[in-house]
Order: sequence, then C-alpha cells, then structure tokens
Amino acid sequence: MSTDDATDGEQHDEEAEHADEPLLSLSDVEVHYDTGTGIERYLSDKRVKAVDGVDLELEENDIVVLVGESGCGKTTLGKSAVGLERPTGGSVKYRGQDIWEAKDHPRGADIEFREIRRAMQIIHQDPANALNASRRVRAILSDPLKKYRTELGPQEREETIYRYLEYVDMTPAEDYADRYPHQLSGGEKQRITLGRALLMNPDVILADEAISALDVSLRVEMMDLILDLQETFDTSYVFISHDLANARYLAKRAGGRIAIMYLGNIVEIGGPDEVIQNPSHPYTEVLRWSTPSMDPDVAMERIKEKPPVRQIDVPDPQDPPSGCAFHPRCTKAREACAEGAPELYDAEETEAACFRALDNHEYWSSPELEDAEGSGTAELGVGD
Amino acid sequence: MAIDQPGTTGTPDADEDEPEDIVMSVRDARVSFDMARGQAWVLNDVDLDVRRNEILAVVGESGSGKSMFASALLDAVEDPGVLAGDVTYYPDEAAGESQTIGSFDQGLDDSVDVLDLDSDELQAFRWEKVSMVFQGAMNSFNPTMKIKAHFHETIQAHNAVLEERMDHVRKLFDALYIDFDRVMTSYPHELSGGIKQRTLIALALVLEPEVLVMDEPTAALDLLMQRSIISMLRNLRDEFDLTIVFITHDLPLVGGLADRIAVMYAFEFVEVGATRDLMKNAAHPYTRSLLRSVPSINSDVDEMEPIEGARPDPVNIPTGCSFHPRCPVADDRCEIEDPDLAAVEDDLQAACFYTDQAREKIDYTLEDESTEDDR
Repeated sequence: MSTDDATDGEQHDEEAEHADEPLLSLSDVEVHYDTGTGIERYLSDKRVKAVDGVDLELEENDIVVLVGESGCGKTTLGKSAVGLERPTGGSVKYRGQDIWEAKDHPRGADIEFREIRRAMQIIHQDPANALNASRRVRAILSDPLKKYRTELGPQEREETIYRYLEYVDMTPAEDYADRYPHQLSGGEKQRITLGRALLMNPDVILADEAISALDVSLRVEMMDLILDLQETFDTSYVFISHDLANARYLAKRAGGRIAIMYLGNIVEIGGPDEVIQNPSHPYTEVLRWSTPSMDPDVAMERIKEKPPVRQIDVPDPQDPPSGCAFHPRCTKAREACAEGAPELYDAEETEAACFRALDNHEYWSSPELEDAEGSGTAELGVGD
Repeated sequence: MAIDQPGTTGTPDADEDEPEDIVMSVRDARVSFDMARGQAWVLNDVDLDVRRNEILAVVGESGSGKSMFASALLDAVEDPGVLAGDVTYYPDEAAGESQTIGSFDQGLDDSVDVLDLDSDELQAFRWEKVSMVFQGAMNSFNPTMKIKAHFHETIQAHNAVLEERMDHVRKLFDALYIDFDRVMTSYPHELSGGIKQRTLIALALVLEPEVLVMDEPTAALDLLMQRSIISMLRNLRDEFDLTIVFITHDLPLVGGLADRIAVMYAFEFVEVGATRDLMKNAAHPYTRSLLRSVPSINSDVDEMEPIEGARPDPVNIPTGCSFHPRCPVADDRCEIEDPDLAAVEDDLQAACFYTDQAREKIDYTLEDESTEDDR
C-alpha cells in the first residue's frame, strides 16, 4: 500500500499472515439459477448455468480482463469474484479466507466479512445511475469515509475528498466537490465512481464495462487513468469488456491477462498478444474475426468473408449443448466435441479449453461432425 | 464540389452528364431547442448530399448531432426541437412503376420538398420513399402481435397489395437469412435480438423505399451479429438498389461497409469523403485525433492518445471553428472564423484552414501488420 493515508495497522498484520495466499482465488465456481416462477421452479429441472465451474486466481497488482458476448456469464463471474454474488458451488477465497464462510461463521473467520467487503469494490457501466442525483459530489464521497474511516474528523475528511478528486484528475477539487452529478460529463461521473471506489482503499476493483458508456475518444483516457492509479494504489482489477480491442489495450499496458468466456466457462486465458495473435480456441478466433479492422483495405476484404462459424446465433443457455458448449457453432468440431467437455489445457501460447490443444486426444481420430439438421444453420453462417 | 452545387435541383432530366446522382440533399439544416440556459443548437447549418445507391456512414460521438441529422432526413425531429432549412428528395425516374406501391403520390419527375409535406404525406413518404430503423428499435414490436401481423398492418396502412408485398418480404428474409415460416408465426419475445433486428430491417423495406436510414442499428447486438448484419447490408444494397445512410459512433465498424464517411463534430460535418481516403489520410484534425484515440485489435498501444478537452456544450458552442479549443494546430484565425467544408482532394472535403499542418502534426497509424491467417 503506497498511499499515505488509507492503510490501517490491522490490515498490515493480516497481509503478513496470508502473504503466501493469492489475493483472490476462485475454485470451481458455479452460479446456477432456477428458471421459471412459483411452482414451475419446482416442477422443472431447468437451470441456467451462468457460471459453470471456473477457476481463476488474481495476484496483487494484477489485471484480468473478462471478454465475452452478452449472456456469457462474465458479469456473474465478476460479481462472484468480489463477493457480490453468492456462488451455488465452489469457493471464492480472499487471502485464503473463504468469503462466504466469513459471512456465515464470523467467529471462525480470520478476516471479517466487513473487511472483505471493503477490500473489494465495483464500478458499474452506467455512472449516471451509480451516483445519487440529488446529492453533491462532496456528500457522495463522504459516505464511504464516514462508514469505514471513522477516525477522520470533518476537516480531515474534507481534505481526503479533495485529495482523491485530484487523484482522478478532477481539479479544481473544491469546485467539483460542490457539483451535482448532472453538472458533470459522463467521463467526469465515471471518474467520481472510480474515486469513490478508491476511497475505500480496496485491493480489488471490479470494473464492469466501465468505459462502454463513454465517448470513444475518451475511453483511452479513462483506461490510462485506471492504469496510472493502479500504480499509485497497488489495486488489482477484474475488468469486464465485450470489446477485444479495449481488452487488449488494458491488458497490454498493465501486463495483465485476457480471459475469454463462453456460456459460463473461461475457454481461453493468457497474455493479450498470445490470446489475440495466436489463439488456440476457435471461439477466440471468431471474436477476433468479428472485431473490425481499422485498415479499410483489410475491412473491405473481410466483409466479403463468411463468418467462421456454423451458425451465428448463441444457443439457449437454458438448454446448453452437450460436450463442449461451443461445438454446434464451431467449424472445427468433431464428434468427440459433442461427447466430452474439455477443460483448460496448456495450448501453444495460452491455456485453452479445446481438445485440439492435446496432441493425443481422441478428437484427432474422431469423425467430422455432421451439421445437425434444423439447428439454425439456415439462419446464416454457411449460406452465400 | 457537391456541396457548392445543390445536386440535380429542379432539372432531373438533365442529370445524365452530372458526375453524381443525388437522391437526397440537405441544405442549411438547423435544429434548435429552447432551453432555460438559452438556445441550444443541435444541428448547425449542415449541408450534405446523399448519392443514389451509396452506403453513407455518418460518424460522430454521442452528442455530436448525428441522430438529429438522421431525424432531419425524415422531418422527424421531435418537439420542442425546430427544424429549418431544406431537405429535398429526388425520385429515381428510371424506377417509375415502383412508385405505385403505396399511397404516396408525387408528380413523376418532381423533386420532393420533405419539410413541406403535410402529416399524411409525410406518413406515406417515410415508409415508401425513405425508411428508418432506429437504435434499439427491435424492442418496438408489439409484444401481443405475431410478426406476420406487423407486416400486414404496415402493408394495409399504405394501401399496398398484400400478396405482392409478402412475396417481396420473402426475398428480403432470404437476403437476411431469416426463416420465413418460423419467424412470421412467432411472437417477438420468441426471437433473439439479432433475428428481431433483422426482421425489423425487412419491415422497414417492405414498401421498397429508395433510402434506408439506420441509427446505430447494431449497437445492442453481439460482435458476431454486428459483423454479420454489416455484411448483409452490403448484399441488401446491391440486391434491392438501396441507398443506406448508416449512423454510428463506431468508426472502425463502418470501414468495410461504407462507400463514403461523413464525420460530425459539434453539430456539423467537419469532414466528408470516400472511406478509403478518409480513413487512410484524414485531413481534419478532429478525424485524425479520433483515429488516434480508438484502440484497435493490433494498433500500437503506446501511440494511442485521447482527445484533450471536453465536447462542446450545445448552448455554448465555441466561436469560429468549434474544434479550436481542443485542436493542436488551431491559431487565432480559428477562434474567429468558422471554416466551411472545402475540397482537399478529389473525394475528400474538410472544414479546416490548416489541413496540411494537421496531417503533419497529428500522426496516426492504422494497423498495418495485416491480420495474417485466420483459420
């Protein structure tokens, strides 16, 4: 913790005690939802597997960018990671302490649930809804201080607020502190929510599409601010994005990783160059194909190509495919893919959940997959 | 060039020798709102020609006035906004017989002054001549009606022949890869977002309009669906002789789609040109800064830079060139004089006094390492 003010002694002791544990450790995390309402819920055994057995570790000062299409479970996984969503299976540990154990059995816990909560903050996609419209910035920022930094007097609190406003480039701080949210631009609002999160001196910030609502020309600025502050505060980030280009920018500048999600699972994870330049999972290739090129010559060629999938629509998450969840859309799928579900294997330069990463897997001798009739192939995909 | 002479005004018969065939022209269009703080300009004296059969992308950030421009094309600016200026539609005289599809009546070789139409005429004009797909409009289907009923209702409202129109819809569905029998008998909630959006595009085209205006038509969709719809739009244009005006904030998205790009900043067009010329060597400092600020999948991350400063307030647009407070090449002249769009190259116009300096001083590189093999 390099900041002057925000650390308390208690926390230092705990850090020393758990020094060998990863900051955050997710093991076989599952979040399954019942579907339907009332009696339907009991009669039907349909469940949506929003997150289905994910392992992930986050170190100090680390960045993981979760990338995927809507409905892939990236937000649910992110919320589980920071203790906002209780998994239906598996465990989430903060410095070795299972966070839901800490909540259920506070006596046996090494780290209090309240302390874990403080250590993990979230920034939402839409800053306008995350700020109370009828309160000034000063009031919005005093709340966390009043709750978690009770030792500060009014004068110190004021000073702390100004200092944090300066951290997030909102100067003159006195002027911004007096404003209401509607007097701020979208970028400024998002910087206030970032400042508010940082005031809690968190170890992990979940940024859920935190730049998607900003103007394209301001996204780089916000990402740069997040990266600068990561150095100042030693915070780790779980960043959620549907945009591979932005994910690459963040992960590359921060030396972090990109994790690609598909229907509740991480299907590929690794460094940004490795994941984007040399992916081992066919779904990562699809995402890359779908991300438009800036070069008009390349883009004009690309637009004539057929999408590299068997069908463009994502299967119903209530009724996911057997075996590898991606197989009905995968151009490389063989019958083995419909039978067994791959785990993350060491692939060329990344870890990928695809049998093709294993040289001696039965996949290679398995027959080609016939197009399932009526499965939406007519929808697009393979037609001219 | 096109900006200086208003297209084929008045004499569409004589346009054989014209270099461009204009389908819509916009002149001095301005939209203002009265706000407590003063009058807000959300479209500021813009001129633009839409060429027949082109795909024109109108690109701008949020609050640049791009959606207002789309609304202006159909005289659909909502109260209390007031639209002034000229919006003219030039029918294609070659397609004479198709003009009998609906109820919109116009003298055969007359141009149509869109802002002059009464509300019945406008209603007909909006579906039969110029049609529009709005952002997130896939949620505008009536949830209690099957898809088929939406088509029937639209066709009957325009006194068109039902069977003939439904045959046309089959062709549209084929081009958009929609399963006709399944989708027609479905309720909207039974369809995915991608299918709904494609169905809506087909609905907008049921009366064979010449121009399709689309405002962020792919914004709420997943990447792959976005890319797929983009590809389908090109085919639609070729197959049905459409002109498409595609409004978006996403410059890279339209690089492969548009024939021309018009860039908006602060409620006016700052650069208009052929896609390739504009993307490869933009002339306006804003366009260049924008291209430099948008990360792409293999750009150099250390070269990216945001555009300094904030976008202008519609009540308080800067004097002179509205980009000057954020512009690295602006000088005193830019604070006083407002540059008009002027030709920089053959098919590239920019509203800037210092395009040479801009090109020298604001560097950007599009990804050049070509995205090797894909499979």
